[in-house]
Amino acid sequence: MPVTSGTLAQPSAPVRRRRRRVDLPTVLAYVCLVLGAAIMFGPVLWVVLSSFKGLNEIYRFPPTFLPEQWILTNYTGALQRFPFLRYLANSVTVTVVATLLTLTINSMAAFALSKYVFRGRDAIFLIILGTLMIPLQVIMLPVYLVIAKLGMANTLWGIIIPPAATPTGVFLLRQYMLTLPDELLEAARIDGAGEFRIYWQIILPLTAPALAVLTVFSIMWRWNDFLWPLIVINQDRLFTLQLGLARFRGELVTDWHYVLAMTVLSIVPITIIFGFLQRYLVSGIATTGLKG
Amino acid sequence: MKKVSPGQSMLAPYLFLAPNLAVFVIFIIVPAGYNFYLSLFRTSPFRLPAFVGADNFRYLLQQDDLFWRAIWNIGIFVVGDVTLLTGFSVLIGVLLNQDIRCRGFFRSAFFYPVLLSPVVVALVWQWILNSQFGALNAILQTVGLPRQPWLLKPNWGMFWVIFVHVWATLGFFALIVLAGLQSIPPALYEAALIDGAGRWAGFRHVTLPLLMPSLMVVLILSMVRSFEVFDHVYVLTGGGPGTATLMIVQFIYRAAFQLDQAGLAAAASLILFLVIFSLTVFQYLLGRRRETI
Repeated sequence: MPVTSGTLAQPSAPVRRRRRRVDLPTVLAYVCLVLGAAIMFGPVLWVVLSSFKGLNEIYRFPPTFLPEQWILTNYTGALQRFPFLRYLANSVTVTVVATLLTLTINSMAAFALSKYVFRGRDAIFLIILGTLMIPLQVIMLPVYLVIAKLGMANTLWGIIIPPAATPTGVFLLRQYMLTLPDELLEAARIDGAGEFRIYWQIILPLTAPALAVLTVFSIMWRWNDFLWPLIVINQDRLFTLQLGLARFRGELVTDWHYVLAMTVLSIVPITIIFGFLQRYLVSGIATTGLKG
Repeated sequence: MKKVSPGQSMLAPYLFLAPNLAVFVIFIIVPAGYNFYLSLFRTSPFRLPAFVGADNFRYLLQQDDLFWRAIWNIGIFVVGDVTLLTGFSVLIGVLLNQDIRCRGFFRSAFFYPVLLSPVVVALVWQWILNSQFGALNAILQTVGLPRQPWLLKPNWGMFWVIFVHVWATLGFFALIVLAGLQSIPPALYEAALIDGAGRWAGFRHVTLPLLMPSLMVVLILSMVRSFEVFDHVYVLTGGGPGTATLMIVQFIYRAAFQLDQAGLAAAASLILFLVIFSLTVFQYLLGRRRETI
């Protein structure tokens, strides 16, 4: 089933099968949900609360729940001691450039595969889908060797380029473009539009809902990526946020107050972005099983 | 097959495909071939690579205790992870599909950890599980149970690695189940109700059979993803204590980038690839209708 539109994101409320009433199964359901939500949400809340506590309060046992005094020195101290802003800049660069690159080359490939008839089309599509079975984890060493040969080891390009040609993205966009009528292209050609102009001005705007889904996923993949940057980068100044965080933790075995503050800071951007875009993420997973 | 439309350029599709295909070939297909080639060589920091045929595989399978340790660990991890994920995703999917108050809130709460990076997830849980100041030990002590150095004991380490990974990915699978549930026509339940079926019978005979396609997706996807696990475990325990939570990808990472054993790393990668390949083929053979990636 192709993603047909962003409206899929809000699943319709189930038909009310019976009147809302209080019986044992209903109570049990609420107990499970509240308990579950506490387990899923509680740990993050706990870290956020801890990050505002003073040193003597963080390292107290048993701990307090709410900070006795809300303080910001963990944040200011951490920002002074660590190049957080540099890591943030690296992460933003990688995420933005990689997402733009992914959207561009995936949509171009999807356009060719869905709107043209040419020799080798089906074979190429099958090969692209087949690469789904070769995740980076399986070929990390040879990919690194290729990167090193091309002089991209220890560069942000080395992080950005290899995972950009996602089979998932090509597939998602192709399925969507297949639903667009071919007559659009023919009409445009009669009007004298070039092939690139058809792609850029006609097909791309109409593919917006699927592009939005891919954008959200690409942002999440890149922002949260750890293994590949860990392999490519070994210079402190090129660290992404995730590498920096893991490194802090390794170095500051006991300085938890800084680690907590950094952790919270790194969650803020993604939480804000997905507050707005959650529906695309949900529809992406629900309709195509796209990896989160 | 569509007809070639008049006026279509013959070169255009290849040009549109070129950038994506170039990245594919250079960074996936060539390395995949290179990996096979590497697996047939012995490498060491002191000597030139020497062709050894299947020796790397033989060494891994017959002599390398650490490789078997990683296989054993990943076996336990996959069984625990997939069982819990499948079970809980059905439970949560069903609960979220009920006519309940605050559905939006609950759905977001269960989904939120999916957004977090593996590094953040691991750091959050290290803080919760901290033996001296952790919240979990505080709770245990209040109810009179002894505090534990959770991540320093092998069995507890494995338990928490599985638990944390389930915690981080459950929302994703629950959403797949929820989507499957919502595609079941309510009329079927009404029919079952008229036939006198209770809630349990309705679930057993209507929901479960119709949910099977989604469940297969959950099962296979979660299996593939747990075989590939690295980030969460690497940051949470580093594979420890000792080698108690060292998984197969970390074994490969270690051989490739920490020990300079490219041949062994490539051979282990190929074995992991075969596992993922068989799972994917199996998934395909099940003939799912959903086009899932």
